[in-house]
Amino acid sequence: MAQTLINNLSYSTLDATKLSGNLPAISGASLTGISGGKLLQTQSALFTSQSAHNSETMSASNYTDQITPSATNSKIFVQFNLRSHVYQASGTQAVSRLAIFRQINGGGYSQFFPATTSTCWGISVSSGEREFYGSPQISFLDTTHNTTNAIDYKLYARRSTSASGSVNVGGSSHQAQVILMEIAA
Amino acid sequence: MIDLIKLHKALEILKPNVQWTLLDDTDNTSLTEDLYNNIGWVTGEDSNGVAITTNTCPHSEITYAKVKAEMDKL
Repeated sequence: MAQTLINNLSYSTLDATKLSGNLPAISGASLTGISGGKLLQTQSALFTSQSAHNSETMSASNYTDQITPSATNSKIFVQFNLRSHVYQASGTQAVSRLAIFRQINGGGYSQFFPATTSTCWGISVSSGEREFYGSPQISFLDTTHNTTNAIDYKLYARRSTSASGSVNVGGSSHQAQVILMEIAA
Repeated sequence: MIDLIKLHKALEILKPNVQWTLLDDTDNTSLTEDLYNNIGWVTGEDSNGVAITTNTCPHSEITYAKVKAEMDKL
């Protein structure tokens, strides 16, 4: 078999046809000038618990996860996948409000997304008993954390008004998942 | 896990529009006294718009026995 001898010189160009078969292992430290991946880490948490939120003020669910960014300017992609359920015996609407609260370095939770009001979902009908199940998904990008301390994200929920009946999150045999991804700036 | 709608209905019978929250990660299929004692009864709202709760029921109309009895009827 014909072989081409490549002597120990530096090459500014290398014909790709000269590269065949298995290449020798190269230390990553020897690779420079390469734009690497942007996804720095992922965290996830799975839940099968449930919670009731029968109030016109927000209260915490069990759904939460934590991530510790490696840089203050990295972005955190946050996603909550869940099942929720509203019920009302009578009246005009069965509507829940959901929001994600954020806590940095254990300093206490405050509403983060949406920053004001909340994600509403449910049904509004003229009268009668109604029950509605859905799988809301809440996703957003946190670009304002400015920390390398631990960040917690937690789902909070409430009913829209006192006439909005019962708001529940989760339920038996229903999995929910929180996914957090740190993305390089 | 318990049926939260039944619990809601039972509480509405005893005290309409009562405000409460509950985290349930148990395998119980009916309301136990321990789980009942974990109900957060809403008494107010803090500066972050989050419910202030107490596990001591402030409503004389509501007791574990009454709630359980109403749930059993549903």
